[in-house]
Amino acid sequence: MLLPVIIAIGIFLFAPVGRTEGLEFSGFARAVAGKIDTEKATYEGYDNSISFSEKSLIALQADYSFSSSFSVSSQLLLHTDDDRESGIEWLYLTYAPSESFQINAGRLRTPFLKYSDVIDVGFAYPWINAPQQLYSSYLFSQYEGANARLRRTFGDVVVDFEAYYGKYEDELESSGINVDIEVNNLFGGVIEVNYGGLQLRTATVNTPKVETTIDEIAPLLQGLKAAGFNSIAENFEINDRAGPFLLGVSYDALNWYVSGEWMKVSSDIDVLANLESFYVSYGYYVDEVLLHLTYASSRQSLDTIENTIPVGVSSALDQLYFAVEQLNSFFPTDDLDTWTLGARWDVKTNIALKAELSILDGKEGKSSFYDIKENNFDRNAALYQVAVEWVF
Amino acid sequence: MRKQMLFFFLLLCSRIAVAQDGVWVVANVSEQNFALTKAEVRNLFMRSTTSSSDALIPVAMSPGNRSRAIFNSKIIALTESRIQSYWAQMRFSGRQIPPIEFNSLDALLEHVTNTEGAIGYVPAGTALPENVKVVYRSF
Repeated sequence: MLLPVIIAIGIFLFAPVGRTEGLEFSGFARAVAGKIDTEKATYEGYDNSISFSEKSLIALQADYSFSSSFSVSSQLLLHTDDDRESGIEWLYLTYAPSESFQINAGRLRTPFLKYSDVIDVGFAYPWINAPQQLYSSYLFSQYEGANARLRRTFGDVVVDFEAYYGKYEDELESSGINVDIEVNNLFGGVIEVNYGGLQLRTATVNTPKVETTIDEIAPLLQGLKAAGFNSIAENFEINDRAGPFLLGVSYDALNWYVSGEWMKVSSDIDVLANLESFYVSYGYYVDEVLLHLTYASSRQSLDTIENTIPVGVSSALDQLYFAVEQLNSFFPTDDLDTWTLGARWDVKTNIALKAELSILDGKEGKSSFYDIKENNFDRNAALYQVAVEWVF
Repeated sequence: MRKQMLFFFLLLCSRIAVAQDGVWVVANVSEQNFALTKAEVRNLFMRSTTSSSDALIPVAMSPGNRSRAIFNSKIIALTESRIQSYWAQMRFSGRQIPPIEFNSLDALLEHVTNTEGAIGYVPAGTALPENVKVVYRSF
């Protein structure tokens, strides 16, 4: 936390003085409206009335160059989403001695999926809503630490390498549960191979020990331990390894593209278990309008924790038993298939209008990325969205 | 006679049209026979890198310019909107910023002429100063 503060003070103290020609401002904004066609659940904050506030945001980036190889960048982000905090998203020092090598240190966004580190910059990708099965905020979206980026050219093939190390702390809200997450030794890497319009990507994040605190379940875990059910309590404690792995491929031609990403999250954390998801997308340009179709799918395998508490012995134990049963159903099981049809029209070189329809086909008995309000909800819904994306 | 005149006129028009549909990639380089392949030009303008030289600094025409449209479709092989979203991704992930853009051919040529290692593109057939060489031809 200290490093970003020092950098921030540095920027605000020194930037306006003297060489203001080294200071550059840019930014991006998006206004997104959407709704789903059911009242039995919400999806990414959307319910069956039109909402503008789930994804709309504005960000201002300041880049200040001290010299040809040293610069500092900061990105201030303001959201309308209740689940996300507004504030400084990025704040880092860059040392770039050449076009093909750079080191960044500070608060950075974790690179993993193709658009992970620009997920707030809707202008950078075709969808309004990048496939939720991969892009949902489960992963460690930002970290405090450092990265190194190296670019090598082999004939016509350009290869980008990126490695990073840092720590991550965040509060997540998943299916209505607040989770505090802390990862002290987060490290990972990305390799991206580009040959003409063809791109191959692979990435991984390693988190040897994820420490989480879920206030809602702390009293229950204490109760379990006090009653001697340590093994059950331990199963619910999320303090272990999680490691996502990614493969991506895309081909961009002049008037069409195909792209896909496949992700597997394996973890030793009993209640999070394993998640496998992918999407395949095709886009076709008709003049300035892009039409695109995407299929995305996710499967989560959850190890249900064996409830060994005897029933009918005492009312206290019965209560514990039912609490564990409830807890078992508390963790998300995000099995979901979606078809998304969308259009993007670049009205100006820096403004795009988008419209999108997603058919959400969730699975019975699973959470499927919904916040379910009525248990008889069949997990099927349609999501409608329109957006304006702007960069400046 | 009038028919012949018309024929020559049409021939002239078609020649101009052909000339307008091509772009030359031009650079301020000292090496006499310096040349790039199409893939090298693409990598240089999209990723600031080539296998032959790291010292070249690309400059571009502004969006809406005809040479830029031809360059985009023939060499980069992407639409203007795809290129714009690519640069938004590069800029806001702190990776790279797009080449400097010029509003007019004269301004771009002046920059290339006065900057060693600068590389840009111009309509095929453009008269070039002595120190600016054609390094790739696209027709």
